Amino acid sequence: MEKTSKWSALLAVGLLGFFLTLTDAQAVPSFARQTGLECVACHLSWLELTTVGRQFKLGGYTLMKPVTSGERPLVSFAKDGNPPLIPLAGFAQVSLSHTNNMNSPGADASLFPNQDELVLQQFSLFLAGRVSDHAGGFVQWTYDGLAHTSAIDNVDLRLANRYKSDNLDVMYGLSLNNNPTMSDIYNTTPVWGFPFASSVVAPTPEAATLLQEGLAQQVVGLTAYSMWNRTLYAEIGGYRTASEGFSAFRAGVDLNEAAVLDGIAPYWRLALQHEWDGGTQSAMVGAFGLTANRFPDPLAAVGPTDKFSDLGIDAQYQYVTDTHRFSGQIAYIREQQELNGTFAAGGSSNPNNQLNNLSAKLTYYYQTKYGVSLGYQRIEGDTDAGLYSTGQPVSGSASGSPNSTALILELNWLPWRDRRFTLQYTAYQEFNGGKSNYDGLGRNASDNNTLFLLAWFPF
Amino acid sequence: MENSARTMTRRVGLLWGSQLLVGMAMAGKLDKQDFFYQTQPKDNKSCSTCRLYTATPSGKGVCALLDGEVSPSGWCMAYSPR
Repeated sequence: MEKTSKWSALLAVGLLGFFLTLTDAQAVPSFARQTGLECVACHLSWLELTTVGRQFKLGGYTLMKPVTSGERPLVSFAKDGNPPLIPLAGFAQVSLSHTNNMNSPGADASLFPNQDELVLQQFSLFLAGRVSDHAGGFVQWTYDGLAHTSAIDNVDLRLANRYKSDNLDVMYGLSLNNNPTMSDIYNTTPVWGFPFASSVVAPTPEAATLLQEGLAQQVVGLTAYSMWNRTLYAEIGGYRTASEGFSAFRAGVDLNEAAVLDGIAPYWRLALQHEWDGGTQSAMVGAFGLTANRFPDPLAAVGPTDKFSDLGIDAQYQYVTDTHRFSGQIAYIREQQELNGTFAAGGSSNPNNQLNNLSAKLTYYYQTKYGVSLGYQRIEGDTDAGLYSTGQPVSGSASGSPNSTALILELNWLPWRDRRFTLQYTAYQEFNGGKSNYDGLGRNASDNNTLFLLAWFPF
Repeated sequence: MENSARTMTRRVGLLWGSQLLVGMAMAGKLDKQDFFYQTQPKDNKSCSTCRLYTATPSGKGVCALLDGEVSPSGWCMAYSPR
């Protein structure tokens, strides 16, 4: 075990050093190589999309600069030149986490693995780019440097087209993906919401709505989307368990923990957006929803299911110039749970629960190099001792309440446009239903406050 | 009944799919207004210093991503310095 940990730390340090030597910004991901665009044309700061980035995604990732004289290379990581035939890209995340108190009553070091040491928390490879005039997408494969396992990550395969006349401009298409809200073009919904990276070893609140990536890499869905006159965005589709012929969409995922749905889970999304001031400013208000029937035991997909009805409302504002960039996002998800399966099996105290999530964040970047973000996250819902009072130190809840509140302050420094260093501090005002002694063993919410340092290197 | 419903769904799907792929081309370049192209520089940035711009003998130029001629002193949201 100790050898594995040392190997992981060594690998993390090695990768950190390797990527730090690549300081000439020649290494940029495959979408940038395909289009010739700078990262910051499509991203306010990656991963947050600008107007240009949203346009690129709506177009099915097909926009490409013309091929000039000479052949396209098979694989290339060069910034200039013809786009490579195989759009290979990747990133490494090396991080260090420190949780405020790792010695509360009932807790021991085993509950806080890999703290205060450099770890390779994620290494991802992408095939990401245009396939043909109307088809494009990305497939992400991720290695978990702590569990030493690898599995499929986000997949988004698109067919896209556009109708344009004097009065009507409709961009439309299909997205085949494995994570509800991944197809979305804004940064309010869970998959692309703040924070874009966080500690994988620090304690986090137990409760989350199903839409908060509760089905990530466990389902496959087809959605049809359209953007009308750059004003109305509409998307509708459905998700099913990624089993049988679709198992590639959850390849490598631990099936003991993968969700199994009963039938199709419908998903929808509507948004009204406006862009003005020569594209410098944009705003959006919208709503989205998902209804899913999930079997409580993924290994015994029979009998009554739990029904989750999630409804979200959201809004976003962006101000984008080369010198100053500002954005704000807010999203509220209200989840109605009808726990027919879990309640019948004795897993919950209530047959029905409500769980709500509020996420908000503000970001400012100066010269696309120096950024500060402030995030607020609140999860609250019905008290249910059967669901949340596990009696466990750190992760338990003495009150049986799912309520948690966190403030996240994040500083970002991008010395080059494809090298990010992040200092993030998460402060909990409430954790699993309490401010003090929330687990019934003497642990306070603030004991879970976490300092997180991250070096994030795409290539 | 179920088979007939499936056949119908398949037909509708195929029709929709063929409509999606026929005709109006997404391929190629975007319209200038897609990236809010303007004929004036912005914040001292202009097409002439963008890596997507190529000058033409006419004194104007072309953009790798936008349709038609662009001015060397123009600008758009996709500006990417050389």
